[in-house]
Amino acid sequence: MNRKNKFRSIRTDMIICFSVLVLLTTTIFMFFSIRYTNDNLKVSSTEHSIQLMEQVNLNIGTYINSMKHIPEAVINNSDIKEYLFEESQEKYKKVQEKFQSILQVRKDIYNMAIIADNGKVFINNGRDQWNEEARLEEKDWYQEAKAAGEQSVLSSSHVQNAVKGEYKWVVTLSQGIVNPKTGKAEGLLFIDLNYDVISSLCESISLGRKGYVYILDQKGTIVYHPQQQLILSGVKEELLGEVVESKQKSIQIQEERENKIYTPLHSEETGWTIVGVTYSSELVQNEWTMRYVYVALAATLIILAFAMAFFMSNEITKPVKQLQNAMKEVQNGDFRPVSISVKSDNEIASLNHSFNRMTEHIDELIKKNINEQREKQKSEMKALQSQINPHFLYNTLDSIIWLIEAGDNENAVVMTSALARFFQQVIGNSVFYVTVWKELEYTRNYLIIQQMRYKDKLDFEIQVEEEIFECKIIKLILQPLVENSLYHGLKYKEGQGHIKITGYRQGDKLIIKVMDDGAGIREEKLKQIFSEGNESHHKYNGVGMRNIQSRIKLYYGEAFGLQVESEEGAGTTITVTIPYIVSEESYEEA
Amino acid sequence: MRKRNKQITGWIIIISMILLCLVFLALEEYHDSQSKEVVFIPKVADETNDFWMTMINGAESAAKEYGIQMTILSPDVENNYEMQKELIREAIAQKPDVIALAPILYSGMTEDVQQIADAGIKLVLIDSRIDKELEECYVGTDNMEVGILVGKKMKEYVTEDTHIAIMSHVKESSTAMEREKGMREGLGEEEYRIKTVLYSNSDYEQAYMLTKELLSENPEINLIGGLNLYSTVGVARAVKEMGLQEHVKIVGVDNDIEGIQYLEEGVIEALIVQKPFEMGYFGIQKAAGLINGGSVETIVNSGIATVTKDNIYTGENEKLLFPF
Repeated sequence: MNRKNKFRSIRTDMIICFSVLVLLTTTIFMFFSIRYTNDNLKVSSTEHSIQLMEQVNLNIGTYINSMKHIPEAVINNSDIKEYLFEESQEKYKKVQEKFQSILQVRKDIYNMAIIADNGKVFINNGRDQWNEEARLEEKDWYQEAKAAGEQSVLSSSHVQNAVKGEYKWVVTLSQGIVNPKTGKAEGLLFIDLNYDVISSLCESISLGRKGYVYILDQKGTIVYHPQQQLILSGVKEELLGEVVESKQKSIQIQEERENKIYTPLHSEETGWTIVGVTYSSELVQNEWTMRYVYVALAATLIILAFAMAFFMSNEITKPVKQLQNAMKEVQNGDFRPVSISVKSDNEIASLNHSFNRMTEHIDELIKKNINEQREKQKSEMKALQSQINPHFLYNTLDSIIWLIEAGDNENAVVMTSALARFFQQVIGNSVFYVTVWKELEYTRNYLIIQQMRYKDKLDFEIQVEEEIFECKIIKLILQPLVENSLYHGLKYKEGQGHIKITGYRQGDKLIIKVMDDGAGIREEKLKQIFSEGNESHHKYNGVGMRNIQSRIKLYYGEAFGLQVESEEGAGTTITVTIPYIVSEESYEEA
Repeated sequence: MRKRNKQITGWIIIISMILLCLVFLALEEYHDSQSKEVVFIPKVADETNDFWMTMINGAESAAKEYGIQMTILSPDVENNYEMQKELIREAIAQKPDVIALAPILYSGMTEDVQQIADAGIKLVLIDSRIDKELEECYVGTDNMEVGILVGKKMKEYVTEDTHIAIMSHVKESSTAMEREKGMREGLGEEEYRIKTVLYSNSDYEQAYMLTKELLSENPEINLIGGLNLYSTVGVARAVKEMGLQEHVKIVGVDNDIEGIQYLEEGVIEALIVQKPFEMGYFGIQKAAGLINGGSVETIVNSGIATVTKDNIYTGENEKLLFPF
């Protein structure tokens, strides 16, 4: 297995962890909430329905109860009894007053009437016209009321036609009036209550969009039903008698595709049965809505959590990533102090802190190392500079002896003094820089000696602008170059060779050229001239071209150095380029 | 590592998208199940007009039962057909699934109704029709059946010396023709007893005047059939006023309080009544059927009932005659 494939960033791990965590918790949460809510939905909706039915029952019961004291006040009134059962009309006024006092307070009473078996009738204020065609004795409610004797009876809903020209839906509360003479109920009081009170109460109950409420009396006759018309005409069917009989708290009926839940409530006060009907398809619809809401919620949460996971893991792993990048740079050898910004105060921050300290430290060490290396090189250079080529000394001294032996004292003096001046500059001079003038003098002394030794072979010329005489130059640059020209160029040339040294300023640079018309350097050799490992072949006076080149670069920088141009058989020109720096101090030896 | 990260991000985005799509789909479906829109345009919606209020009640009852969003647009008075034309245009602009219309005019608003069909909206006609068959379904009273019931009821009162008069409403109107035809069929072999057919032009006063005239000129007339509410009530008024209720039997169509009083008093023997609640209910029920893509009957009979003095307050009739 490839290691690279197995690699996963901390960030990815964190995102995966977060995501799995969120998914897991959300799913579990959703599963349980939906299950729990599902179970609860049916039970709670049935309970809700029952509660509503109790509410309806309470309201109707309160309404009916508030009426029940009225019959008491009427049926035992002696004026009324006298009016009903005696022939005389003298109590008419009293009855009228009594009726008016009641009807004035209770506006929701449509009609209040007393009727005796003997045909005597009093209705409302006495002015309303009795409907001669009413035929009350044929009506169910009237027959029931009569059958109940002295008991009060609440009728089902019906149209009251007792007043001429009025046909209103009412619920009638009635009670028999006892004739004190016979002790039998020979009269009847009936009070017509506004049916709208009951119907609007039922209509106001909301059992979902399709659910409804209906009321039946003891016999299973409809008191109120929103689709009473359709049921009576047989278009629709409804649970009637069976609900009245039922002792169950709820009944489920499968009707076409719909599942209806009936919650009947048997009322003590009225003897009616109030039934709530809910559609379980609506519950299911609610259930689906709820599920969608849950899923939507969960989806939103998950997406939110993913976004958060991304953001958070990014935030947390950002410093680690920074550290990683910084370390990579260090790995690649860039020891500049990377210095990661340390914002927070945690483990990673302290890691960063340590890393910063470490890179700083390493950087310091590297700098120190470089300096040390430089110093070492410099001291090596110094050592090289102060080396004397023993062959040159021997050869010169040998030449001097020859001159003396030949009696040429004058030239012997010249040569000796030149040698003396030459060595004066090499020995006992610890300074590193000299003026161009001094360097030239030194070279000139060398050339004088060599010219004396190879009289007919060497000619030289120094043409340096005075301007640069006081400039600073590293010691022992020119002499080795001249020596180089001498031994590699002129030595192999037939006849007299020529060495020319020129020097001038070019902007902020100082250019010194050493030109010879010697044998020149072959092209391939020219290429290798500064390369490593070549040193031995060009080593003269202990100081080679490479050495000079590296010394210039070491002291002046990479922009400076030597440039060699050569043509085989025509000569070589070596150009020294160094910065133009006018010496301020005197480099005279102490 | 980068590649893997991208893969995971991709997966997460895909899963989120799928979840979101599911939720939207589900909500869309839920939304769909809710938006069944029907505009119902009756001839009038007037609190004092029991017939139309009952029809609207029936329509509302069906709308609730079938989960329909119903809008009612109704003219201010019963014969304002200009306003009803305007309401048809308004209804089309609402872009409902179905328009349920009770057209005031038989042939005067065909172009307007045509626009409903042109707009791709399904049409249910309630109570009345128009001269072009543009509707998916017609719900109303079978006028032929009304006539037959009137005729059969009248036949019950036929004796040897029975002479019949007919008080129709608008000559050559479709309902008048159908009812008369039915009535003749109901009378069967007694049809020859019809002495005259009069037209009240749906006016109480005209019916009253025509009857007074008829009975004073032709005292042998002792059985009158009224073919709509105005004719029937007008006839009854005249008969009662002339004190001829024992002599003249009346069988009529439709009801109002006055008519019921005459029925209670025995002036009118029987009334054939329509069922407006059923009309409204079936109208919207069929509209729901059309929305749900089912095929529905092209003609739905909303039914009628015969009411006499003895069954006014029994069962269905009580609610039918006194809807409120």
